[in-house]
Amino acid sequence: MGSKRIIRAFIAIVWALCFCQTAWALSVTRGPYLQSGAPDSITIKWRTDQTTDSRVRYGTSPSNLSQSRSISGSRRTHEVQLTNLTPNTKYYYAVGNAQTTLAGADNEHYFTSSPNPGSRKPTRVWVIGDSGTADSNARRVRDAYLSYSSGRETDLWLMLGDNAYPDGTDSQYQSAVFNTYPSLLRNTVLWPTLGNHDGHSADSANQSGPYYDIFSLPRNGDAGGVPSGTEAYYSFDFGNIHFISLESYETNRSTSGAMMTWLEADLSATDKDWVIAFWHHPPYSKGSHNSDSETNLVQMRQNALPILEAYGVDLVMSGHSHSYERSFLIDGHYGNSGSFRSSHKKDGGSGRESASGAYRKSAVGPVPHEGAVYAVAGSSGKTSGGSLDHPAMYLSLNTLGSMVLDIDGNRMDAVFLDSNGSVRDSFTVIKGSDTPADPDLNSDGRVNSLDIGILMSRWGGSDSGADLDRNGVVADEDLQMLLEAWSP
Amino acid sequence: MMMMLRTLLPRVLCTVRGARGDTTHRDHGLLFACVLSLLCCVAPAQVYAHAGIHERIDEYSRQLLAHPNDAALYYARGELYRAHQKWDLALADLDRAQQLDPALAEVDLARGKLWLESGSVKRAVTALDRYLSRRTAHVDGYATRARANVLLRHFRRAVADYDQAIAGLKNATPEYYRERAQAVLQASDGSVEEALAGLDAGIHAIGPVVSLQGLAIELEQRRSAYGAALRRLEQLPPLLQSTPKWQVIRCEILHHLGRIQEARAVLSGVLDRISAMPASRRKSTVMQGLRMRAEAALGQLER
Repeated sequence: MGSKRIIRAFIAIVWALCFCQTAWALSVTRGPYLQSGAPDSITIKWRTDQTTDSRVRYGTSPSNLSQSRSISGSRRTHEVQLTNLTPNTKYYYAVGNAQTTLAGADNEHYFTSSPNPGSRKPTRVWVIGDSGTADSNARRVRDAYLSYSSGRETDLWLMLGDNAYPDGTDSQYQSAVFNTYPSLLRNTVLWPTLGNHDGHSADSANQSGPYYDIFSLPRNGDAGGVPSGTEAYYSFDFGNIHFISLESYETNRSTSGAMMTWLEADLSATDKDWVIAFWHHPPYSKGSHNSDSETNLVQMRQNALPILEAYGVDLVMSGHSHSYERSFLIDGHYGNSGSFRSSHKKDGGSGRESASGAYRKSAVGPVPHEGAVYAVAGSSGKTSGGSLDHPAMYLSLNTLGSMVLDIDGNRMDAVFLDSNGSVRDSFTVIKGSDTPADPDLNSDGRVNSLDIGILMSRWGGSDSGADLDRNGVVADEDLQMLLEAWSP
Repeated sequence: MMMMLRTLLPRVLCTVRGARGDTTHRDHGLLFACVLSLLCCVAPAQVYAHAGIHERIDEYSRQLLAHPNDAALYYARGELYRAHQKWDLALADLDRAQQLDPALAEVDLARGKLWLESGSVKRAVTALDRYLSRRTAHVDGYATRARANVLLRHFRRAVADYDQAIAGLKNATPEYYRERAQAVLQASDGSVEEALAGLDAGIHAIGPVVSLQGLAIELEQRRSAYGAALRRLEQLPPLLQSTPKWQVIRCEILHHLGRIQEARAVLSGVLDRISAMPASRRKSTVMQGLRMRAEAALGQLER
C-alpha cells in the first residue's frame, strides 16, 4: 500500500513537472528584433527557452493582427521573413508558435516598413559605436538618446562594430545588445558592421560565429543596392538614402578584392540623394587608435575612400577609437595625417548654420569629390582618450555619446549627443540649393501654360532653371510646384 | 572590483542574517567563500568587458605573474600584441607559448599571420606550413598561406591553398573564389579557362555577384567568347546592367558580335543619360572616362 502511494506520488510529480515545463517554461529569451527592413519585407527574429515552431502574426492594428506567417519544425532561434508589406506602413506584430502568442499583440511591438526607394521621408538614424560594454556607460548613452528622441520614432539604427565585448560571443551579445536595448530592438531595424571584438568569435570568410548567427543581412540586394553575395558587407536603401556597410577587420581590403570591386559597382548603381557608408576601423583617427600606423585603418583610407569619393559619398562613420572625432567637409586625402593640407578641405568651417554655415554640395544625388564628413563615433560604451589631434578633424572629444542623423530631402542634420543628453557637436549638409527656383520660367510675370511647355521640354534634364526644387532632375515635383504657383 | 567586493559583501551577509535570523560563524565562513568564489569567477570577465587592448594586455601580464608557465596566457597576450602591431613583443610571447606547450599548434598560425602582416612573407609560409601539417583542414590557415604565396609569386601553390580553403567553407563568400581566379591568371601555366571554371564554381554557390561575374565577363572578352560574355552580363542584377559602365561594356560586346544597330542604340542611350546628369556628376572623372569610352566605341561603329 505504502509503495503504491509512493509510485502514484512519483507519477503525479513527473506529470506535473512535464506539464509545468510545457505550460509556463516556454518564453522568449531574446528579442524580438528586426532585421533587413525593406519597403515590402522585414525579418523578425527571436529566441525561446525551448524548441518550438515559429509564427508571426501582424497587421496594421494591435487588436487586429489579421495576417500571419508560420514556419513548422522546432527550433529555439526563430527567424521569420514577412513579405508583401505595404511600403512606409506601421505594422503591429506578435511572435510565438502555432498555439500561443509569446510576445507582442500590443502597442509596444511594431515596426514601420521602409519607404519606397527614392521617396523623401524625414528620417532619423541613431548611430552607436563600440557600445558593447553592457554597463552603465552604454545605458546612459542609450537613455540620453531615448530622452532626446522622445516622441520621435527612430527609423534606422546603425551599430559601428564592437557591439559586444570582449569577444562578441552569444552570451556577450545577450548582455550588451539584447538586454540593453530591448525596446529599440522591437521597433527599429538594426544594421550592424563587424568590429574586431565581434571578429574574435566570428569568421567573415565562412560567415559563421555569433555575429553572423545573430544578424540577418541582405546579401542579395534584398533591401536595395547591388548584391554582395555575403553578409560581411552589404548595402540597402531607405527612401532617398543609400547605406553601405563594409567589413574592415578580416575581409580582403585591396582594391582588386571582392569587397572593393562590389563597392565600386554598388556605388555606380545608386542614384539616391544621399550616400552614407559605415565600417569599424576609422580612416582618420588619433584617438585610442592611430590611422597613420594601423594596417586596417590605413588600408580602408587608401583603398575605400578613393572609390567612395569618386562616387560622391556624403558621410562616413566608424568606431574602434573610443572617442568622437568629426572632420571638416574634406576630399582627396589618402595619406598620413602629416600630409593633410588645407586644400583637402572643401569647407573648413564648422558646418553649423549658426556659425560658418552648413556644408554645401552642388546637387542632390551622388556628387563626386565635393567633400564628405568623416566621423569616429566609438564612444558609446567607453572612452579611451588618445591625442585626438588629427588635422582632418573639426572637433575631437573624449566623451561618451552617440550620433543622431536627421535627413529630410536635400538636408542632413547630424549631432553628437553625450551621455548626459547634451548636444556636443552639430553640423548640417545641404545638397543642391535650398531655395526653390522661380516657376515663371519665361520671366513674363505669369506662371501659365507657356511655363509648363518649357518645363516639359526640359523633362528629365538637370541643369536648367526648370529644376524648381533643385534636386538635380526635372520631374513630377517640379510640375507640382509650378501648378501650385499657377497665376495665368 | 575590490571596492565592489568591500561594498557588496557586508550587504549580502546582513541580508542573509536578516532573513534567517541567527547565523553561525561557520555559516558566515561558508557564505563568504561562496560569494568570494562567485565574484572571483565574475571578476576577469568584468575586467575584459570594460577593457581596451592595453588593459587586456595588462590583465594577462598580471595573470602571468601568478601563472608564469601558462602557455595559453602567453599565446593570448601575443595575439593582442600582434593586433597592436607590437611585432617583437608578440613574437616573444608566441615563442614562449610554444616553448611551454609544443602541442599548441595555433601559435604557428598566429606567427604566420604576424610575419605576413609585418612583411616577412617567406617566414610566414614556413610557419603556416608547420601549422597546416598539424591542422590539415583549417580554412583560415590555407587562405593565409594562399595570400602569402601570391606575394611570393608562387601562384600555383596559392591556387592549391585556395582550393583547400574553399573546400572547407561552410558558407561560400566571393572572396576566395575571386582571389583564386586572380592567382590562376598569374600562374605561368594558368589559363583563362581554368580561372573561369573556378569563378563558375563560386557563381554556382553564391550567385552571379559582380565580384565574380564581372571578372568572368572580362575573361570571356579576353578569349573572344563574346556570346558567353553577353550571356553572363545579362545575368547581372538589372540595377547594375543599367549603369553607364555596364551599358558601355554591353555595347562593346554587341559590337564584337556584329549587332551594330543594337550597339548604337545602347551607346546613344548611355550618352543621353550622361548628358542628363547634373554637371557635377557629369564632369566627374568616372563619367568623363565613360563618355570618352562610349564615344570611342560609337566612332568604331560608324567606321
